Amino acid sequence: MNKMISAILISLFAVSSVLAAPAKKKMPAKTAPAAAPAAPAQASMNQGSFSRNYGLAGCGLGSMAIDKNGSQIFAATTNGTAGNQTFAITSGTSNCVESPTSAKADRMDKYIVVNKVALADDIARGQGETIQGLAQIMNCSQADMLGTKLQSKFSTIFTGHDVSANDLTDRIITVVGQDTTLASACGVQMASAN
Amino acid sequence: MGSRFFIAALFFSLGSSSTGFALDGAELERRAVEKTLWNHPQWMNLVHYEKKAFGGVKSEVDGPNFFLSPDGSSDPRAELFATIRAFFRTPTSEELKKPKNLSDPEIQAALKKTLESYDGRGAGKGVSNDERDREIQAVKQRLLARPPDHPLCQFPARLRFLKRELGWKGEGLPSIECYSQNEFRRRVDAKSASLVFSSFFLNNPSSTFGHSFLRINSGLWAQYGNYRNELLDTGINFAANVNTANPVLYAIFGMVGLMPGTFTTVPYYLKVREYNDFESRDLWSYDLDLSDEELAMLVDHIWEEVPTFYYYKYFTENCSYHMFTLLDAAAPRLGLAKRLPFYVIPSDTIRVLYETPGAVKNVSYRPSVRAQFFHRLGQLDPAEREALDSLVKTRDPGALPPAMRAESMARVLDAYSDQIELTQAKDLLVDGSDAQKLKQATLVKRASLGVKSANLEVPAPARSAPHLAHGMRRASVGVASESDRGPATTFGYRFAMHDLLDPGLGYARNMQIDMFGLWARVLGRPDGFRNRFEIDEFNLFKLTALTPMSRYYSAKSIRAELGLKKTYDRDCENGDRRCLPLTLDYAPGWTIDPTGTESISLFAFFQSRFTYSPNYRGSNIRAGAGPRLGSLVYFSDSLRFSVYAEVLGRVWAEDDFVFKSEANLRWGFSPRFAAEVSARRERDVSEAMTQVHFYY
Repeated sequence: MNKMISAILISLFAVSSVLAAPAKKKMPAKTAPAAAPAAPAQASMNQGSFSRNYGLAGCGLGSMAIDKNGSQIFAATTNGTAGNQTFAITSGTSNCVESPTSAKADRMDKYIVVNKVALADDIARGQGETIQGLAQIMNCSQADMLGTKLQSKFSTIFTGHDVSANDLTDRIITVVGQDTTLASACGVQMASAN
Repeated sequence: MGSRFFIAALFFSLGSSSTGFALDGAELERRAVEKTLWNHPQWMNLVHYEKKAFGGVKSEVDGPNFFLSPDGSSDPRAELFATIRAFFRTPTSEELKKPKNLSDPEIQAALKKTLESYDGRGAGKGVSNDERDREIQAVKQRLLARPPDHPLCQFPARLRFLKRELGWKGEGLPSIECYSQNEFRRRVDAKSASLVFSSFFLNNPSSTFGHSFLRINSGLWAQYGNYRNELLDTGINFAANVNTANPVLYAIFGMVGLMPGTFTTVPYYLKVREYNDFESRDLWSYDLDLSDEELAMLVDHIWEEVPTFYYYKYFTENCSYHMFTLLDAAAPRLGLAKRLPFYVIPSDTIRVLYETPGAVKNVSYRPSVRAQFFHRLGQLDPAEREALDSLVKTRDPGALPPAMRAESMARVLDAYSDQIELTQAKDLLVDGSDAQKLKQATLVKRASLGVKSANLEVPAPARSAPHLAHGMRRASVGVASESDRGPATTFGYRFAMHDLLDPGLGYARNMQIDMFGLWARVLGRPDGFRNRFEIDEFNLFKLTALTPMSRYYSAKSIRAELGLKKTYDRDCENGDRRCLPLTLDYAPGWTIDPTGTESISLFAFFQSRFTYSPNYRGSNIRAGAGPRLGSLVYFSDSLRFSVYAEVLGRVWAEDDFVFKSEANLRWGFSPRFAAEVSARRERDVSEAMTQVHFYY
């Protein structure tokens, strides 16, 4: 009898270790962690990173590029999604972007962090559903033009395959902002640095 | 005279109009009693009551916060009245608070202070960015914690139900604004709903039978006119909150119901990335035909379900079951849950849903990365195909023939980037990996062409639509004859789901997922005296995946079986050399698809088999290994043939080499019936059998 039981247990164990493939995904597991029940809003996909590194009170404080190691976070704070305060994004250029864009950037971060791979694919192809989704997030009425523009700047935006979502957002906003037609279609305003 | 008559009439009308009564909780309760409203099917569905075996009801919800009455989980009437009373209760000051927003000045100040405390403590100076970010997250969660919900804000579906059934517009209720609930509704922006099925995935036991979840389709697309982008819709998922990393415990907890399961709302794109891309599973959407009222009820009930939990039971109260009870709460006319047997398999629920009148109005398909890749492959002309093949070998996107037209190159690179994702999905998430570098090089080259890809329209593989699947239960009856023991009548019953010879519609090709089957026979007077009943097999599970090898991805085939399986074995002590050992099979292997149409498969497995039986001579355990070679031929979806031969070399056995071969031909002559003839040889005994199968 004991042998029977141990045989069954061993079989179960062997089988379950075979079947339970170690799915070490970096994506959030489809089972929510047993923490407090999630507020049923669009789940925030902050994977341990708060939404935004922003320069505090407007531009002209000497914007600095935030490099990947975040060695200098320039008076950063988190962004208010509906705030009427002025936040600025310091981007790779010396331009700063003004307030209505920062809520947009927050939304873009959340979208891009999950859709990064598909977005890279679509941008390389110049079109696709993921770009359309991005256009909607950005309140951009010209998804086609967005696709073409981003494709032409692929290497500027995706300098490697491991760029952070924050950086991608910054770069995409910068690229959009530098094209007058697209900037107005997507509601991106670039302010000039002092 | 006229005026007195008029005044009398006035009094009459005032006296008999409903506004003449005080429409407060007491009046509502009176009306509820009049209608025995707690027995209303929608109330029963909203509180998820199910009938108990010996009378009475019990709610399936396990979270105590779902009930307003202490007896609520077993007393629908008490819960109804408690709900009415709770709605009229004066809200506390906490409940009236407006939830904080990130842009609130005091939150900003607190976060700024936390961030400043990290100044000068950047990476390399003692605190990692991850740690800092985590702390910010924790501070955010604490400061932004939602105030508690007044019952009016916690149970909008119940409120909607009561208003409708009691002819009440909410008069007398305390004035309270349900900020979070309204924000939820605003974000979801429900215009319709679809039930989504992600196809079978054998690498993960909780996904073996597929998975289903809901998608609430938003009106967001409407402002962009011409296209429908479902990525930004809301996905509603029910899953277990895994509380153990041990696979055996996970299996046990899941089957017995020791893991709490919850509903979560996620952006649909998360589901697409998870299933379509990372796991390469097709997604089938079944658009539901719900009225506006039903849809509103659905969204409201989702809000009610999210904060609570149910113990997750793999075979009964699983993801698909909860989708059904959720839909039943919104639209009781569907009666989905009671159309299911006591155990619930996701693919089967899709078939049931489709066959329910008034449920589904449209089916659509979303291809997995694999499907996308093969579609792109099919669109390549021979030169492009050659370029792709050399890319796969050289892994150098820069080495494409420069004379190639940009459009051609674009097509090849598009296919190649899909192929990378198909074969290296996990590595692509590892920063700095070779896969990432390769993908990057490919995409840079692709973007530099400046060509826009055409929209990819992958036609839905109509044969694989899950609603076409045969019933997962199969009852069989037949006659057999063994060379040494003579004739027998055979019986079989399988609870789920599909084997390699079952009719193929609705299932992935070359896949077997069987669980819980019992086969037995009655031998016709084998020893001349009386008939004998014997169990042939009791099977816990049988899994086979025959994935054909391809130059584009590496594919291992696999077989695994566990159960009691009767064998003819010289090592058995019984006179007729039959015993029923506990058998565990595990076999990796390879499959070839010579015609490329998956109609003929040739496979080779390397098997290992452990058996245990107290009826063995000597040791009770046998272990063996050896090859199994065979072939599967699909003449059509309903006519299938399989043949195999295996040799097993065993230890601890007297009979060290056992040989077995089997051939089967099964013909599904009607949607629910199939006939089969088979022949088998085990060592020196052979058997012929014919059966009829019934699927339901």
